[in-house]
Amino acid sequence: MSYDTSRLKNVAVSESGLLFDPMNGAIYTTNPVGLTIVTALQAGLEPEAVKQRILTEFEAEDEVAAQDLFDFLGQLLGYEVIRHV
Amino acid sequence: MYNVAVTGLNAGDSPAPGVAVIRCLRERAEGRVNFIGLAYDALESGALDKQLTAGVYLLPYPKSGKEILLERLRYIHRQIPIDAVIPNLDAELPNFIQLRQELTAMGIHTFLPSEEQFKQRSKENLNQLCNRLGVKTPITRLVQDPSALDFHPEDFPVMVKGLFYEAYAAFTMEEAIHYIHKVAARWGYPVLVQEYLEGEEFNAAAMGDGTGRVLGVAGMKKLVFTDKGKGWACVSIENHKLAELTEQVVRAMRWRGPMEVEALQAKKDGEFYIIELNPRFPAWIYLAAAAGMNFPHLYLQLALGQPVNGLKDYTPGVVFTNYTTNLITDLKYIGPLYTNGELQHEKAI
Repeated sequence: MSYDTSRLKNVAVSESGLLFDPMNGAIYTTNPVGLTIVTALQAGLEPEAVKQRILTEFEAEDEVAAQDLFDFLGQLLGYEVIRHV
Repeated sequence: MYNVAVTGLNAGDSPAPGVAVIRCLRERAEGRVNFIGLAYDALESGALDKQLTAGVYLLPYPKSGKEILLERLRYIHRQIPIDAVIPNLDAELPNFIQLRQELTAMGIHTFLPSEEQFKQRSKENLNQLCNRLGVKTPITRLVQDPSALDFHPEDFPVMVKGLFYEAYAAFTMEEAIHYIHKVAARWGYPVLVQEYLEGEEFNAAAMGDGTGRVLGVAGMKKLVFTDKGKGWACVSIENHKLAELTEQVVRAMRWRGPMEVEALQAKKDGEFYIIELNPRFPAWIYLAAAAGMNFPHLYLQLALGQPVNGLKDYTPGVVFTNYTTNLITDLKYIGPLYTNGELQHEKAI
């Protein structure tokens, strides 16, 4: 499944995990896994490649990484910073 | 050295813009501006701040009329020649606008909208203006007599608003009538009853040069609200739809001076609806300056006939929060403000 991440690309990301959407002033916080997902999506990676990055950076099991990614994408969809295409 | 008089010095939980306007100007003044406070009450908090102004003069309340105001401004001008005045309160603006020519003749410069422009964006005319401009606004009814209300249960909730200030959400007919009486007792009739739209509120400040040119737009989102719905903490934003809407209004009206657009992005259709068009700087104007758009500085340049450049660089993500503190003074010190209506501040240590 692919996502339109054009709005996410405008979201300001700090190393501490603070996210700021300049369109609506919304402020979010996330953990290191979430930060990795956001920066990977902003870099244009597809979900499978994002999962591989999680596996590499956090030494997670494949199933756990896939579930974390699925949950986090659901949150980003809910906040309307990404959309299904 | 310029002497600039500024009104709206109350800096409480529902702050007026004056203190923020002075702070904006001070950042660019480089010691070339002397500030004169104009207040309606001796206890307007900013009036007592020795570090804010060189002195404070009380003004007659707006309902006294423009002639009494002019008389008072003539007196103040004799004490300290005023180069420019920045009125910051809705209720006083009609008098200042009507006095523009007299003030200019005295050497007191302003950069204000025309009387016609001021009326066009007033709450009672907002529907008509928005229809003409092709922008959305909630349906608004003017109420002169609450006993003649013909609302049905499905019409609720509604917003009940005063002509100048105050707004309440009413969920039943009883609440609506209560708030209409409450608002009318303070601000008179008509009272506005506005369609309640669910959504997110956004604000923008802008400056028009009176020819249709927009000199800048600054967007803001409230992060923390007071119980009156004012922004206690806010963040600068960059929302293209909001900026385009604001530019459209300022350009089409050929707006002259500062304007604040209060808009709501409705949940039902994602569209922006104009809630209010305020003919002045908003109280959060220091955030706009901190994010790159110092509109009060532009106002002063325009009022003094100096050339200006439009502002383009704006930084989203700049946050401000209000915080309260205590100003200590002595009744003997502020006595002259009560008795003579004026106070020259001692130099702060």
